[in-house]
Amino acid sequence: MITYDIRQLTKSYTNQLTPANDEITLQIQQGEIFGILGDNGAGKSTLVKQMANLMRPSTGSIMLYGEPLHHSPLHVPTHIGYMPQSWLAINQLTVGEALFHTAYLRGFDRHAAAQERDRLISLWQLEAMRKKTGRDLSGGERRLLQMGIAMAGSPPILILDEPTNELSPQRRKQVWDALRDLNQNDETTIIFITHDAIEAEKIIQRVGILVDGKLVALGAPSHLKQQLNQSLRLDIVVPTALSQLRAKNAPEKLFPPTIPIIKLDANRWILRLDRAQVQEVLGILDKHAIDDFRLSSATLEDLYLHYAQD
Amino acid sequence: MHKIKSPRTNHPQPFLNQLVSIFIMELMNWRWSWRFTLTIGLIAPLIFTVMIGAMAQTSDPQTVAYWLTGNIILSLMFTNLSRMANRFAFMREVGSLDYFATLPIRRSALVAGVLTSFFLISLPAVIATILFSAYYLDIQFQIHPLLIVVLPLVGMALAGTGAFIGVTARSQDEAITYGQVVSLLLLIIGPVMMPPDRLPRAVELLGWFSPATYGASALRQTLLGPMTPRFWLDIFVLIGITVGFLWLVGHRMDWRQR
Repeated sequence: MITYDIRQLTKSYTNQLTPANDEITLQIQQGEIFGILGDNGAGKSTLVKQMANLMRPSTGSIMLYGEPLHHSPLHVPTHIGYMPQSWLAINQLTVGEALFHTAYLRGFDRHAAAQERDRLISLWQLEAMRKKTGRDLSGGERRLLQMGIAMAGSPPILILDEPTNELSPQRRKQVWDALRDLNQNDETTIIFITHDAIEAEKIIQRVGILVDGKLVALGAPSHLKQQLNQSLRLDIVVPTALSQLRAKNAPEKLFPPTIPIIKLDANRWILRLDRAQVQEVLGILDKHAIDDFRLSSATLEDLYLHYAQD
Repeated sequence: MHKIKSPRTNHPQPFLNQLVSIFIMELMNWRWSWRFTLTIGLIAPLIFTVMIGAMAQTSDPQTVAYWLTGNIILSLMFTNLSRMANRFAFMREVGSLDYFATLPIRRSALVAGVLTSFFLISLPAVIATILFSAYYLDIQFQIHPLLIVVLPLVGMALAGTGAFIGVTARSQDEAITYGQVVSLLLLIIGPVMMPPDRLPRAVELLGWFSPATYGASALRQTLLGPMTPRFWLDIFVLIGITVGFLWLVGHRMDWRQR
């Protein structure tokens, strides 16, 4: 069953020369976990805001369960839970109050809303923060509260804008596990934006990659990764001292020019290798001069970098 | 168009439940700042009452009546107009409107919930102003039962004006500035603080377009008497202003594809 049917969606802002979303067409199925990847300014948040009916497309259409979003004012709000990037929306309520009132306004009676509040506090391990206001929480705790607010009332669709930002590795794992459980147990459709491509790969069933407002790739990660021609990925982490000398030891000078090299930052490089090149490159690599290296098959992050850099 | 049967959904709350829940959420916000709001809402009217006391001995009773009701308008205006403009602009800036827009609630429930909470928080300062004026100026109020209708109506008309400023201003700073300027203008144009015969003709005429004029007139009649047919004109216009601004607020508010 199709949940979202997006056709030729274009969104232009008056103060920008190029559209934030440019003729995007995609469908999202009921019960799917759909990830949206893209660089900053690629148009990801603009896309999900339109899906949440917070913004009107310039041209094109979005249908939710076969009905245009704007046909009925309560059509979208009765089906989605939305988690924005900003955390200030209801930061003067306590954690318990925010969850209770959200569940109540999503249609639960008072008793059920109180149960929902307790369930979400327990799920996100927010017991100690129950009586704290949003503004008294740490960045990570706020993200978990926002997750709870989006989930309150158990809507059939969750739209999450960077749910794991500011979270520790343990908390990130907790979020991905909870989302996977929610999807498997309740068939909740989960649509999210993330920069955390490696972690997200564990749960993503289909992905859309946005570059400059255009949807440049759409499909299952395993299928899309085949386009990387069975290449391997070599992660290299160099010490700071070496990175400071990178002018002399720049990767493009160390390795053959045919090898695509991506500098993630001053200390971290990624090389994409054909299987035949592996021995040669490992031979060149001075393993005593580097902190760490790892050889693996292509990941979702490679896929994202592949499209983002092309 | 082929409509697809959607999976589980909850029925939205009835309108009144939505309104009450939003009203409570707004009051919860006030927990952290009600002392400040009450103090600021009280300071100007109380100081002005003392000034009225100093000037009352040389002024006629009609002028004192205008000062007094203008003073109550001032008290209502601080919370219901200035702070309301600030509140709606703040809600836009921090994403509160987006939060509410993704919940199955009516936009009118949100506006009404916010307005009623602001009116409630303004009441202590208004009542204190009335009581302090009665004591300090030794005024015998002849309170008409319709005051119970007039006070919320004046509060809502001013709040509607403030909310409109909040949803149309480009930023919170702009909303605060406009809120203060409009408050000042509404106090000085029309017979709010001064009797009409003391005002320049142009200023008096401008007052016909100000909610404060009708609010002050209705307050004077229900607090000091006598009730005249003009009272019903005041009520009619205040209702019209309230409904008109609430419609404009709903129309201009950033809300679901608007």
